[in-house]
Amino acid sequence: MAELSAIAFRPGSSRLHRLDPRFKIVILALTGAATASAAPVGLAILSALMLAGLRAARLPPRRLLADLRPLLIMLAAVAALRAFTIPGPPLWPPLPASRPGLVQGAIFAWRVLVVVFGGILLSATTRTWALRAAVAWLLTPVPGVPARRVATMVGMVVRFIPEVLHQAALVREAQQARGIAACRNPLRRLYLWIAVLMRRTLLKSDHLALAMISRGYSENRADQPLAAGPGDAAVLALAAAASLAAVLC
Amino acid sequence: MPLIDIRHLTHRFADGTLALDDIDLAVEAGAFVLIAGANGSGKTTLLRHLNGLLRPTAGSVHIDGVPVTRDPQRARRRVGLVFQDVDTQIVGETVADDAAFGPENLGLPRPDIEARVTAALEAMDLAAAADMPPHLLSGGQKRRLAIAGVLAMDPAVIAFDEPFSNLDYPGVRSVLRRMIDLRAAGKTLIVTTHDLDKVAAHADRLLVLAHGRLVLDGPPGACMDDIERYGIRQPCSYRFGGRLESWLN
Repeated sequence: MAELSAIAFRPGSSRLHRLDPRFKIVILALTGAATASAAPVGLAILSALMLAGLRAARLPPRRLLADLRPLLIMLAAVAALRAFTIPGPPLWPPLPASRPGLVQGAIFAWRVLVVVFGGILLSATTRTWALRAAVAWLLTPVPGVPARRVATMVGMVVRFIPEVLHQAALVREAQQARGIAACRNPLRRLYLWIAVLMRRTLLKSDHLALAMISRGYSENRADQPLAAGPGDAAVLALAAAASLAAVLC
Repeated sequence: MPLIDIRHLTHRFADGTLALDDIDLAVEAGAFVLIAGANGSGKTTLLRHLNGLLRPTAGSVHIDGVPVTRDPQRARRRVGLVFQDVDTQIVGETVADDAAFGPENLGLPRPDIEARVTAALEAMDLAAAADMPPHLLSGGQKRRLAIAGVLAMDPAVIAFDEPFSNLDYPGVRSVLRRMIDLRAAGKTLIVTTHDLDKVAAHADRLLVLAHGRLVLDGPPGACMDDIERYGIRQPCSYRFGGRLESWLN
């Protein structure tokens, strides 16, 4: 098997790879919150921040776009739906699509993409153990939350999203090879794809749980120590400033 | 006292299937034991009882005289299990991360973990791949990584579930060579297989399971004449030459 996915962790030594994972999570939360309330100028600032991050992490843009193709198609569909359902001056008179609807749909898609790229930057530059340790560190002061258990779950979800995407591609290829295209009902095609994918994913997660138990998994693991440096604070300050600017613009 | 002592072990799955039926078995330290049987004969179920992944319906499994059900974590430290599907056993983003998973679960100090990881990767000839993502490894390398992950926990027994499945000829030889090295280093090896050709020449004991029952137990050479009645093919070298030959020759 060649590359699993551009979303999967890619070993490297970039500034983002070296950034303390606790700072990465805080930055993701800050930029995510700013994205929710940012106007187009603010979204442009946050997009520039994400693009700089992608460049710094040396993620392959073409591969990334290929991996995100289903999401891009879905976002385009949502934007189109909004254009046809939100009332307003028509975009082009013969078509019942409104200009405000299209703008709102495009901004919604833009917001989602900024948040998704933030998540990709986190998952592609952070090892599972580091993410797990950071989540546990951030949750430990919260009363009533089993920090290490939640951290393990978050770490495993991030670790296995690329694997699930890979499985999804394998199932799709196998069904194409068996002539699924001849099935004209898109809902049935979708059902067949999701049913097989769910079965494989659940089976794999069962095997994974057994393998982890077999290797003595315990919540009191000897995780590697996290260490923040002055450079990390500088990156956090930059991201915080960009988020603030995005909200204010 | 035998290292592994199984007494009247019976396992019935929730759907009523009888997977193991009154198994009695003792394995001495340093032995190389093959467990053969057709699909569904109970080989994998038996292995999963050795480190407490399953609980007996009746009977018991003792490791060093201690019942597995009394202290499953101890059993997992003493018996390392290499799964048939190694992809679900590998949890780290890099080869070294994955090999460290077991020692981290043991809560060892960081220098000890690093020493164990280095030693295990060197033993499996994977030191040069320490920083590689596991999904880029070949099938044989992945299997060796799974063994390294178990070896880093320093178990007395290493149990392999169909270790040669999906491997090409060089992959089989590479894994077999490491198994011989492990045996020479004093480990007790238990290997399940339905294909005796690749490994029978190196084992000193062969157990045959059929429908959950132990039906043959003896030196491999002495069991070969009767083996085909249980759905297991005689090795080619035995069939045509009357003796067992190593794939390493």
